[in-house]
Amino acid sequence: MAEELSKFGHSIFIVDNDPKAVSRTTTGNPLVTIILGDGCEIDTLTKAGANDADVVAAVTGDDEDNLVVSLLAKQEFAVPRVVARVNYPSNEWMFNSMWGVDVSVSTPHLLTALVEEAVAIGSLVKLLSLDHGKAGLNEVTLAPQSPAIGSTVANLKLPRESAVVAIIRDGHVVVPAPDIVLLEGDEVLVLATGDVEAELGRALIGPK
Amino acid sequence: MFGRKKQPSAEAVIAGTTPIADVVARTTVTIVGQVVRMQSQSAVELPSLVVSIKDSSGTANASWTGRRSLGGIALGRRVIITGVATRTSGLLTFVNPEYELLL
Repeated sequence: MAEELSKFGHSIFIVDNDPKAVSRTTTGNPLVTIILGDGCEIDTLTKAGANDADVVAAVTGDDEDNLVVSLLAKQEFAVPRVVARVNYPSNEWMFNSMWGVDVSVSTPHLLTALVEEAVAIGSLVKLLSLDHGKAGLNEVTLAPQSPAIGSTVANLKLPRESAVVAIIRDGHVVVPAPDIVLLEGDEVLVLATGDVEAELGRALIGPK
Repeated sequence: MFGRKKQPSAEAVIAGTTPIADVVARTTVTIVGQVVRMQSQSAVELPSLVVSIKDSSGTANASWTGRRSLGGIALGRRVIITGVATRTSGLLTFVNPEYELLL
């Protein structure tokens, strides 16, 4: 992260209280300075230049530490922008101006949001890979415009190396017998080998 | 008053304090002034107490997060505030500063 930011010309101070991590992270980058110390202590933050920092980011794996750093940055150093990482979604409600946090970044929430987006209706989601990635289980929830709606399983224009393994309809598993007619909202699980995503998409989602 | 120390007048300068107009943002400073406005915010369940402090040179805000009131802080009260201030669009704001009450 520091390397990325330094590419934009920002000078960066990293604070870590683990000597091993500090010695491991050696950079030849003149813009990045690593400081050994506890970021929850004012002295360490002073050393790291918090008094004239534009942004302080509290991104440890410990929510309590992140809140302490945020509050200190705001209260003791009047840092204009404080970014904090939320590790447990149940703590998210505390990451606000009361604790000096301007922007909170929640990794779990970000992941769930990405997953939710991915499982949105009408897109192909790869659920898992089998046989070292050569085969994959894919899922499509049939959107109203899907060409598969009204077709029987036998008549689906699926690629050769693929098979419908199950249909989930209203929370129940329907065995994909050849004469089953697909309906809107069906979750269709397709096992396929090779690179057939595009073809699967055409058969189950329709033209882009 | 008998047996009491004479209190400084409203405009008396207390050693080590900075006139509000001269405060440099993001440095630790001490100001002294009178509470001229108090606002207790509880919007969106984030309580905070915002107090405006005025001296002869200007006005600054002090905001205490998580508080709806602070002992001794009342309109007209003279207070000493120590902390680090930010200046956003001309307004000086201290977040959770130390405060001392003057009689």
